[in-house]
Amino acid sequence: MDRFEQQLKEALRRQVPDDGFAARVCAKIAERRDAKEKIWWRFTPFHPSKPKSGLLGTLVRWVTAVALCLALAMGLFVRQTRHERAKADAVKAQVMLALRITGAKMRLAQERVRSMSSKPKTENGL
Amino acid sequence: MEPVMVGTNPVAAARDLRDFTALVQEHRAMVFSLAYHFLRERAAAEELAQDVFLQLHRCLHRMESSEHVVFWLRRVTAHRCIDAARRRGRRPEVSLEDVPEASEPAQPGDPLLREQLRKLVGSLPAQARMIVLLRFQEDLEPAEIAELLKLRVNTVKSQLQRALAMLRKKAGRLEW
Repeated sequence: MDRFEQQLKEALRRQVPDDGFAARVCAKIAERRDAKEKIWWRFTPFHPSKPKSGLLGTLVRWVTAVALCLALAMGLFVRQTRHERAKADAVKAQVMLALRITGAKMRLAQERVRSMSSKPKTENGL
Repeated sequence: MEPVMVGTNPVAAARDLRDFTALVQEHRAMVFSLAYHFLRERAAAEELAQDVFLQLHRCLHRMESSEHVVFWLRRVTAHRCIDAARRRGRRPEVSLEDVPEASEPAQPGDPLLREQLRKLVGSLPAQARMIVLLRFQEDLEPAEIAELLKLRVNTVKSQLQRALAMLRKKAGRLEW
């Protein structure tokens, strides 16, 4: 490294930003986190910004809680129904397969019987 | 150069905001200086540096080591600086030809000389400017710069040589 490069290095040495840089970064992070959280949370009646007392506030909270429970129960019911339907479909498919195999075997046996009965008789009458 | 945590996992350390602050404190000079020497505007450099740290906070779960964090910070800062220069759609604020030549030989450690050199660097094209900064501010080897900027080593070497030649030519009268 020659003298020019040394001078360049000296000129480009690191500098620190103004005081409180890290605090400003963290404030921005917290701000964005709050903004993201608020998108869904602020619309719920449980958000701290909503009135905590009063008949209307209590009613809204209860209605929301009941609605959430109903939605959850509905979801579970639909899931269970779908699961049972899928199980029944699988059993049905198995029964159909078994019937197809049985039919094929029956046809085979029938053909054998037919071929035996149509065989020419031997000299002793058998 | 500032000390770098070696061997500790920044992901585990910086989960909470208080520890992330320590991470910011440790690397703020590196990120801010790259942005400041590149953009030559304190406010713009601070904003860019803040954005880089915000992005780091979002990507913290992907960081594997302190070295990874340093590499990531340098790469993201470099790309953001080059993007910012392109977005502004401008050549360097000061053209290389517009930088006045010194009338008297400079003394080593002269603040005016340092400012003159910073202006000269600021007048380089974006990619060459970043290569010079990574070489002389961050002390990186051409191979490391190439990895950071996703360029070929020979491209970095030739750009560096060309940039230095341009800077020397302009600073020729300063008697190095």
